Amino acid sequence: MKKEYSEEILQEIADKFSEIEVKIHAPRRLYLRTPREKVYDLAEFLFKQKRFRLSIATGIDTREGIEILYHFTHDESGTYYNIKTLIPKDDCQIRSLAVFCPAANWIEREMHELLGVDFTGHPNLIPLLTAENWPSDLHPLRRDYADEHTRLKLKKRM
Amino acid sequence: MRRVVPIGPYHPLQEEPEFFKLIVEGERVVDLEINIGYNHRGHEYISQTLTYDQVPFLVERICGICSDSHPYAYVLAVEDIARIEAPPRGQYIRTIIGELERIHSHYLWLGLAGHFIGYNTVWMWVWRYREPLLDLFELIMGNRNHYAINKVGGARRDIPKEFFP
Repeated sequence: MKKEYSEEILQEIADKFSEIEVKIHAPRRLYLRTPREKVYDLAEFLFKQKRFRLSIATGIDTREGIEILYHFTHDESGTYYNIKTLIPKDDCQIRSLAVFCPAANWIEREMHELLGVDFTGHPNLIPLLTAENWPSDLHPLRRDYADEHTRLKLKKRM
Repeated sequence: MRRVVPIGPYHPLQEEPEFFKLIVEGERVVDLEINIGYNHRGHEYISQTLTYDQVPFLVERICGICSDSHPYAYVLAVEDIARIEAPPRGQYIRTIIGELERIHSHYLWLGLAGHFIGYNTVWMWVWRYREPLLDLFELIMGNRNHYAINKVGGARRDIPKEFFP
């Protein structure tokens, strides 16, 4: 089989979800820029109907908000379909994929504590990596964490 | 009746800090709580404060056994973003080191698996075969475990002609 993305799957995605913006980065890597509300439906479609695999999810703090990428792979053709979504910082929540996809469970817990994204509907949203006594409103991978951290240290010294 | 069997916070076999709280009913494990955060060193955050050329040395230290795979993946990602293509010789050298590492890494787990089940003969023999590979690494890069061969846009060291058979 040719190692390339499939036009049929893209066409199906375009028919079902009109608001998704597809960017073809390389023959084996696509970016699907999706509004936050549609991520759950698109992921469910890819995971359940197209038998995609959730390789990993990543999140980063950008100027516009928290950006989350769900890296779905199509193993037959060896291609990556990345669902890219932006979450505003003042309303930092998204529907959890862990409901139907167990692979999303831990990475969502990790993003919850390190970036402060609230995954609604997650079965077990407790800290994964941070210590038990870590304050729940302090998110180490946020850009403003460094200031916060120094402030805390100063407070302790005083 | 439910009982709790704690394993950790320091794993007795794998020698890594992790904590498993097994909840058992007789012989059956019915629930499990895991704490794996003891060794989180914040590589994501540190790498945000470094330049693109410094990060390979940092991510190389994520794992001491597979110390080529993380920087290799990193430089491939940066090359992909920056649309750089490494010269063929650099790509060949990186691939050779990656493959040698794969062999040594498989020898390592095979030896350890033998050691864990109490079959130390396997351990000693397999690690004996692993040794020439580490010597090769030392010959090429001056170091047995942390190779520092990857750089965005190529390899950091050449394999000289006199090493060819």
